[in-house]
Amino acid sequence: MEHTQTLPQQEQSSKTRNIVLFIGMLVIFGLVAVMAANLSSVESTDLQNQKAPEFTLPMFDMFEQDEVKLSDLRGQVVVINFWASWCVECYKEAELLEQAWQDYKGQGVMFLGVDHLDTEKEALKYMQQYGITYPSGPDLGDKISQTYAITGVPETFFIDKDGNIAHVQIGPIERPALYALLEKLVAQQPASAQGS
Amino acid sequence: MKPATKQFFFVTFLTAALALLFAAGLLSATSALAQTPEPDFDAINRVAQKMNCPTCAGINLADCRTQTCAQWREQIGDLLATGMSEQEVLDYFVNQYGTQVLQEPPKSGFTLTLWVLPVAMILLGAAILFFTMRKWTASRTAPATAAGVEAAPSPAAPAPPAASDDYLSQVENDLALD
Repeated sequence: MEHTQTLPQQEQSSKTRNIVLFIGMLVIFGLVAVMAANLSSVESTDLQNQKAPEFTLPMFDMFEQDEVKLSDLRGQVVVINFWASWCVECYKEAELLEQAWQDYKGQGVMFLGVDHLDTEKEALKYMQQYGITYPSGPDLGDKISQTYAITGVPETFFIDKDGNIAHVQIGPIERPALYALLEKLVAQQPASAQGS
Repeated sequence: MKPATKQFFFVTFLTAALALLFAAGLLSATSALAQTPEPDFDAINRVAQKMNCPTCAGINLADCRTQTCAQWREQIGDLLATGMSEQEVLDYFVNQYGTQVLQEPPKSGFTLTLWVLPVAMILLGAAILFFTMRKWTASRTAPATAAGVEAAPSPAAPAPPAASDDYLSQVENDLALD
């Protein structure tokens, strides 16, 4: 009699144990998944030869435009430079980038400066100091930097006329490499033009 | 030079010097008035302590000595000077640079899991411990209860002597014989 009463209790406790174990496994699996996602995070160089992620960059007040959308620049070569006023390495290429912008802006090349984790006051001082005139703006919420998975500043992305990332430059770029890349990208025909 | 001319030049020089002195005094007073008020370093520190250094991992903005952090602290001071509250300054930085600037992740959205998960883990651990211990207790008392049911005497009958009592009386008898 006693034994027959304990059987449903045993079944009940076994069911509860299974539920607890299932929840436990689920939590552990979730944690492992989150950790794995963090470990396998994409780096900027992994984006090379891929479609450039879309973004809208708000402009500093000194520019006429309020914002620049990357998709609006399709058909042009786009040079996206991530920089910051506190970045010593950025000083090395600042004037060179401005010079290249002046040399190529009439040839279908657009330069965009994405100011990373910077204060506007210092950013404007920096732009004045190095005479930067190409469109630049703050990376609000650090969203563009995260989308492009930059590893630091300076980093420069060269986007071809089809909107693909042709080259990722980590660290400051030298004049010969910059001009060679621009020459090559300007000379390339977009895929749509090749097809017709 | 005639004394009258000499006196004229002296008076003119004196007037010009006085005018210059007055102008200089007025200028310095104006510039002193135009100076921005001293930043409230305690308020800056209170906000900075709630924020992370943006470029170095795990360092508080208030303690960090990098140029970036110095600029950010200056920015905090500038914003507080405009009349923003400490919370408004924090909100500005979150809007500008993302939630990763905060020492404590916000209790909303995905980062809510960072607050909930540890509590959930503790509760889960407690539940596992409770059920396991209850099972152990049950498995240890069950055989004893079963044995107790079989050996339970009827209330009318006297309790049968245990095996150990027989053994003891035998030993006592043997000892008495000796």
